Amino acid sequence: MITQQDDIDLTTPSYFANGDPDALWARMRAEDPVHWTQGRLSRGFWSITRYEHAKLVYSGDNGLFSIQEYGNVLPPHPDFENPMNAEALRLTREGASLSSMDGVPHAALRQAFTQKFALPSINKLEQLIQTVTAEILNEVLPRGECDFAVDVAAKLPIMVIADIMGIPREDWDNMYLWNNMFASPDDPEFMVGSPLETAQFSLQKINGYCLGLALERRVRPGEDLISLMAQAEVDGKKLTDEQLGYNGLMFFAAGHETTRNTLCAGLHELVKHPEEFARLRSLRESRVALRTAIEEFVRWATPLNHQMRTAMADTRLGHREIRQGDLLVVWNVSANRDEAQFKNADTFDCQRAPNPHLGFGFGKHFCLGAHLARLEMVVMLEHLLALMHNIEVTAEPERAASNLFRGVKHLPIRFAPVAGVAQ
Amino acid sequence: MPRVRYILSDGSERVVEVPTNCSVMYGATQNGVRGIEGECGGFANCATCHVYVAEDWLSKLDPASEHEYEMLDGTVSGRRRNSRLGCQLPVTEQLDGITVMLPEQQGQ
Repeated sequence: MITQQDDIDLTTPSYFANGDPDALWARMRAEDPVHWTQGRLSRGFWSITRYEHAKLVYSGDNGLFSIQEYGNVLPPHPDFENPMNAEALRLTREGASLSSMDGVPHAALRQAFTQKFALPSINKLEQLIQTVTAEILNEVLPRGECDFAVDVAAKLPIMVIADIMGIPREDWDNMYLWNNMFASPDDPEFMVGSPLETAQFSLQKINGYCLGLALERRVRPGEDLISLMAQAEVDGKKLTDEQLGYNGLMFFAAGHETTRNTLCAGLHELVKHPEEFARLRSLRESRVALRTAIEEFVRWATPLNHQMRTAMADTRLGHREIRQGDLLVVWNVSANRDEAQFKNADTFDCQRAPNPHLGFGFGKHFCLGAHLARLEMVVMLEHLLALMHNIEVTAEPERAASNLFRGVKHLPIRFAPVAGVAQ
Repeated sequence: MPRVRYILSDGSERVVEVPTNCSVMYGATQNGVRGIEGECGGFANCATCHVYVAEDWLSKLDPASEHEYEMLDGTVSGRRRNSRLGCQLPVTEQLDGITVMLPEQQGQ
């Protein structure tokens, strides 16, 4: 039976650091796959845990199911539920960023960016990504130890997106800090006040910063993503100040924790399987082999625990009557471990193919950065396989206290560096 | 059920029955036809279901939407006059026997 305590757990960020959500989701898939969850927030919601239902919900995006109505993430804390108090929620409901828009405006704005993130464009970033990867690794290789999450995995997506966005180097550290505060306002490591105050503070900083750059580049456009954003139009109108700030945040943040968490989860699991590590090392020049492995990294990590939607009409899902206005929370991790879809779902299999996981979402809001993320991770993996031997995790990592981002804040490792430098 | 003929880049062929109004992409991914990926699930968001439509079938298709047209610039294998996204091609009885060529590459 799914209990009230289970419901409360799902709405309590610290449960995801200290509890066993995977076991809970397994019970939910079996006993109550479309489960009304009345946790510690004022509104209850339907928890979706099976793969087949998750796909159905995502297939209804921008139509039967809405992001913009009430946002695409659960408030981390009851304080965040009131749009009057929580700036982020208000901006979401106004469609301030691409990821929270619905319908035709969503499709129109997304179109402004599709070429920048499409494969031909992303493939041109190969050299940049190689250079960034080498730079990151050259700093840690001589030490024979590092915090893989902080020193390697987080830096890669941030440096690459910051380059794509044309953010000046001297500002990268600030952006990183503010972004951590915004993503994990409950987390004692980043708090500057209450969780709400922490989130508001960091949101203002990031938005203000991105807006400033965007306004400059509307006047003097470059080739970077912020310039593209500054010129983009929806229905003949350029983006508002709020949209510029919030879309800037989205681009910076979207690939940060997600890519970091995927690399950490994947590496952590891989080092538990030395024979698999050796196999991949022997195949490190095969992009096909590495791509397949990275796809399993994404399924395994599922860096976003959930995505939320609002039903815009009455409907049925898994024998449940869903009412117009009901919230639905799709637990992506659960869908990616659903045995009905994935054989040996709890086995990490770097040769799993096909691998139709939902780690990048599905449908109209399918991750715009998926190709970029994959290339980053393939290049990093290629380098790790070549340059680090006998990797060991030296302390059990702490999981992030977040019901949105799934991953570890730190991953201390030691390794035997292979002679030579990264190139 | 209407059939789709997939010609793979190595010259081999697969003929597959596709339920009416399911897409060319669906027919491939459901039947293990290698050479189409369709990562986003068929929503013209990833350009990894790129096909080259055989000339004699091209005019029988509904024209590409503006969105599909734009996405076709995002394919890894070169865009040609007969390029389409497989996910945007519902297979009807009128398209029974449609032939598509699969490019060498869809992903990275």
